[in-house]
Amino acid sequence: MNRYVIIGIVILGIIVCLFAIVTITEKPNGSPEMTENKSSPFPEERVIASFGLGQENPGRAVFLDNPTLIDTFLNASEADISPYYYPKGPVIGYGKDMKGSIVVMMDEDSVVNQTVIQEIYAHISARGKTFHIDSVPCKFISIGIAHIDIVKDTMS
Amino acid sequence: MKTTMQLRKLSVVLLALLLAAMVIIPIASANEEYSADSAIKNAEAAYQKEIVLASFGQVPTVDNAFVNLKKIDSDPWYSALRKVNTESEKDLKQYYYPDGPIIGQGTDMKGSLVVMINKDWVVDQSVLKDIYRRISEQGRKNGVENIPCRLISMGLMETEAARTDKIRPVLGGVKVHSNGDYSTLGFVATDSSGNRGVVTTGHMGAVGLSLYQPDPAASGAFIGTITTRGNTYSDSAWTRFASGVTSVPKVYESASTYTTFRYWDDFPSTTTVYMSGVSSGVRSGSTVYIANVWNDYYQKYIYNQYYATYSSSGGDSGAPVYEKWSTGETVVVGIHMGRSNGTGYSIFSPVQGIRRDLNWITPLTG
Repeated sequence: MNRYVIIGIVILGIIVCLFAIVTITEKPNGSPEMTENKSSPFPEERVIASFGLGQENPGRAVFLDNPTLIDTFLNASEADISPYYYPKGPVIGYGKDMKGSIVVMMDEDSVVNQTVIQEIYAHISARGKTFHIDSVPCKFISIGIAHIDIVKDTMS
Repeated sequence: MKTTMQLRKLSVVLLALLLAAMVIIPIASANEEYSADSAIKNAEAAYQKEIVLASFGQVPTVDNAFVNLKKIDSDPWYSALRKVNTESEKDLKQYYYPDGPIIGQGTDMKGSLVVMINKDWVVDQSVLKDIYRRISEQGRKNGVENIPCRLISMGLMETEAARTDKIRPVLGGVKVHSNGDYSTLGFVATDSSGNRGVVTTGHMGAVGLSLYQPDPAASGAFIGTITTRGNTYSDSAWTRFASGVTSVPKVYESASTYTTFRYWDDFPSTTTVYMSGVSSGVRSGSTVYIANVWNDYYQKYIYNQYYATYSSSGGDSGAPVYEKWSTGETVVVGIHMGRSNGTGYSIFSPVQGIRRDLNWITPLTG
């Protein structure tokens, strides 16, 4: 009798499993286009040096509180950084991030030279003094050169 | 021996139960929308959702409702309706889209004429009455007094075209071709003289080259000649339309969804942006940096470009970059320029930079 009960349970288990398999293998109702809208994963930021990013730095809040000031600072300091611009130097981008920091983009294919980084930051720091900022929040990141997204067309 | 018999019996029971399960499961999981009953329910549900703007006349007999579709061709009542439809076309011409609100004309399954009115048109009852007056007159001429007619609100038909197809009116997010290369059309705009045209990537061709949508292999694909190119604050180009090219302020998001740009903005105001490209489709990501960026194509720096985390691939250059506000509006904020080699960041030119470079063109909105 016990054996019949066990067999019954096994059969019940098989039926439940079949229901589960059917549900899992059913096609979703969404159209293929719905799957198109994908959010990309946040790429890992490759910071190779940073200065003044600590929360205790009073200069950090200056740019956060005054977004116009960071643009003025960037315009004023561009001439200081341009000698390091690619292709003569390793800097392939110069700007800001969304958290109030200056960003210096270094060509990932160039050998990172800490002396050059210190030199560049010295210029930024000196410019910061004229803005009454003692420690300019700044990070140097390693990044690839911009690649344009056009393709040869076979339909010509 | 007894044990063997019992095992056989059990095997039969087990097999029977398995077979029963295999029959029950497909029945239980069958999609009911394929049954005839549910098809009628679906049709009725569709009628319930109908937005009737005006209804005139009367169907002479209820027998006409839900007629056998196969018999409609030979049905005298429907023949009369079709004749009135055809003959009233000329009288209604002034009300036809795009000059007027009529986007379709036909019959329904209940024995009535149907005039489809563009849902984006601001309803004017006097126009609806005049439309019916003209139809009614044709009805009378064909011996049908008090002809039944319903005017219903309906969206414009959107074709199931791919991004790489020829699509008119021209819109953002579809394939464009110049000088042997292809990329993505950004958005429709107007220049300071009010001429319409399109913004595309600047690195596809020089001023004077022909621009095609989608490519020269398609008939009537030429849309204009590249008029201006910008590479100081953006990577962009302006092409004024050739004569006869129609356009709309929309972005292709899917074969059935062309979304209208309600506004444009100089810069993104939210952190999430969308890109709709020929190769990648719709992608979203966050803005991360704003920087002067070295552009290998021009061998120079381009100022104040945006880095974002959406993914892109070859063919997406020039694609519209836009925001979707929580209030529902879609707002164009730039065009895709390229991507940072190997690091996963995409780069786009903001609208302000595009406008500065292209003699202050104005993105078209609707």
